[in-house]
Amino acid sequence: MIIETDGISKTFRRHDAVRHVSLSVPQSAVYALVGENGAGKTTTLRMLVNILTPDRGSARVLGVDSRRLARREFLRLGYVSENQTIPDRLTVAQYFRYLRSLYPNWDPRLEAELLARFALPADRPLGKLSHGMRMKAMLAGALSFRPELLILDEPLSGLDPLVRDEVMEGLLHQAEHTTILISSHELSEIEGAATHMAFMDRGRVLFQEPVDEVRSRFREITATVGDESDVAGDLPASWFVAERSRNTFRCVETAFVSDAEVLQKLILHVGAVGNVDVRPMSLREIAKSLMRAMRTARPQ
Amino acid sequence: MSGNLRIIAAILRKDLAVLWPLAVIVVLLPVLRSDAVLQNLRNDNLRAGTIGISVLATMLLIVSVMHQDASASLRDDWLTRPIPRWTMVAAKLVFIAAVVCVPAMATDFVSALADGRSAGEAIAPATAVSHATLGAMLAVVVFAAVTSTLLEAVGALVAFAVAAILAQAISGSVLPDGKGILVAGAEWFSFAPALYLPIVIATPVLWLQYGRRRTLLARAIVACACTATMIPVLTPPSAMFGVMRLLTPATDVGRTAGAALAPGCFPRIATETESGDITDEARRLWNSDERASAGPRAIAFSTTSAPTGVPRGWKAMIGFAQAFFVDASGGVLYRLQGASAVFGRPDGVDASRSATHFWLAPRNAYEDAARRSARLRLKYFVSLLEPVASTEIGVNGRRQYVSRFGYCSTGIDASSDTVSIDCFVRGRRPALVTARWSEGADARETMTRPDYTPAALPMLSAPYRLTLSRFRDSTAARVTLTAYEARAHVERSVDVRGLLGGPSCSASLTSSNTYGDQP
Repeated sequence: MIIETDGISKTFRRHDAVRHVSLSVPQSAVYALVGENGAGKTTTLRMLVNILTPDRGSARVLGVDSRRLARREFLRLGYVSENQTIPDRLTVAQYFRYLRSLYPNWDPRLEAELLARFALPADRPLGKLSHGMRMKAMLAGALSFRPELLILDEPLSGLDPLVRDEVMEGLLHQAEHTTILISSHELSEIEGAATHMAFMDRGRVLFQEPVDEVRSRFREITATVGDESDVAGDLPASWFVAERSRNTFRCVETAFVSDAEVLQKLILHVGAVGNVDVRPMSLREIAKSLMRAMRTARPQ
Repeated sequence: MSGNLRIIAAILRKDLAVLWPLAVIVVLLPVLRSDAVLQNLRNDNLRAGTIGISVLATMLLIVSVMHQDASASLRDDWLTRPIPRWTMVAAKLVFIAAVVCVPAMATDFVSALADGRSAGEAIAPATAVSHATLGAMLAVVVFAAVTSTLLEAVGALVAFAVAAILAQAISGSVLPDGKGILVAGAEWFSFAPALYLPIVIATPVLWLQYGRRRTLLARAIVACACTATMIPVLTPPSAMFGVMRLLTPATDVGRTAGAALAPGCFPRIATETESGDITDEARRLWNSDERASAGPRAIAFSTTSAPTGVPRGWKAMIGFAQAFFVDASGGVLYRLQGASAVFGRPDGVDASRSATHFWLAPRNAYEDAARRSARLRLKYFVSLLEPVASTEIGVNGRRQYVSRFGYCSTGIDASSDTVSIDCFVRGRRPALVTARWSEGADARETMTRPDYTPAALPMLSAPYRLTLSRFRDSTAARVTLTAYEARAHVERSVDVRGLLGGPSCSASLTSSNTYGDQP
């Protein structure tokens, strides 16, 4: 594992921002850390890159305790965050000249390619770039030394769809052999690339597994139900965001095995059902439904 | 170039690219505040403004360069770049040295050369980074290290300044025997924490902040240090003097020295005219707050004391004097107000022959004390100084090096008919330096302010200047300089029967020059 955490926790003034988080990110994975704003994603990533120190637990990144990350590891690790502060008064060219002198493994050709691909104006101060252009500049600055591990904290937040696609394309094109850990509350942009996914809520990781497994066990169920059917009773623990409107019953099955099993569960818990639609879900839909479920379950 | 040097160079280039306008100003400021320029500024406000702007710009530059790569931040780009944290600290310190210290040193050096000093002498003040400068710069570095924005740093500095002003304001009222900061010669005690604590805490704070990223702990240390710098302000003079005594080995002279008062009723100081206006003398001696707290028809008088048991040639310097009305059992009924407005402390400092102090008490405090048959207690905090070196220098404008005194020269100001003696000694100067004419009948003597900084605690490498006036017809061509060192700091009390110099002295005879008859 290129990243392995063991029950890391962080508390800010009695607020548990991260609670006993254990993550395992395999080499070469594109690992999506998903959760609502405030779920603890940023704090977790900051602990991984030693910006914050865990109060409890430990993390190993690139085989090193995260608290011991030093120059040698940062030569192999890129980090981009939407909140990152970069020297605004430097021009793009000055910023890259500065970064170049920090990395013996800097690839000037890749830098030139990325600058051209992202159409970054060399003579414009970083502070005068749009948010999207800044993110592109930071991404280029994190890719040009060909890092083994790239940690991205909401890199696409606030970008318009066109720029988002450009950034993702650039990222995936250049980072073929790079392990990517990306946090997001919006998964559509990494839908096709993510190989693993972890879902965080209120500082905890609720699950983490390969994306294929997530996709295979999540289904959206829509069924036509009769007037006499009752959905108020106990429902299976694997169902959530269950709702009925008129003659339609909807829920998300999180432990899908087969259509037949779904039908059996529906008959058992909802009563007689008519048409049943069991539909695979996209990662974005899965994430959205999980967030809705967590929000509903949260005490008001 | 090695890896770390390459990184330092890259950080310096980046910081300079961002901060060059401010850096240019700071590089040029030492020229503006050099003696050559300041002496031409006849407007005091302009002079003060030049120095103020220079200090502010330097502070702003130090804070800005530290915040370019803030360590207390959670967002700064450099935190996840391959930059060893101590390399970052080194880069910042190199920048400060190159932009702030080196230009200042170069200006001092050139300025000294332009004053006609030799290169050997000019290099001394140029390279003598004083503890005050170093302390002040490190204080700003430390404040900047534990903050991440200019607003935070300014907020922290303002909070500290407000706390210091409050401490200063309340110290006079809460201390049982007044403000300790007024003890003559003990300025080192008052300013040592502010000068040395930044030097002492800089390394641990930078280590915690950059090495361990323990921002809260680093901030706690800075807060504790800020609090500690206020301790002297809240230290009563007696305790301050006690510290000086502890630091000075006891000598026989410390045990035998005493103080005696001039006999007779004390000379009266008129505080009001017959029409009820404040007299000029009272105005000169006490400020309006002090006069107001004494109220109308206040009692004011002077006391003159002379040292006893002090070896010939030594100096007895009064650091602080206090006067109390005390009851029969010695309990303090009232502390009289000394004349600090004129002298900066209750009286002139040199008591080698005699010293006069001026006291003010409210009429009701006096009457209450008189009813209780109280007596007056005078308390003197005296430092005894032994002459340790003496030398003669000619009034010829030539600069020369004299052991213990440093580089000294004399210059004649024909318009005021005075001779100024300018000296510079690297590190600690003697506790006291006096100057007098070597020949002729003119026995007048001038002296520096006393400075009892312990030898182990060199404070400031600062020049000192003595001005000696001469008679118009004087042909004296040589000045004798004498250096003294403190050998004992003693506290002596003198109890006077009655409140105003004797049992027969009374405040009822207000039209007289004294409070009663002379013996």
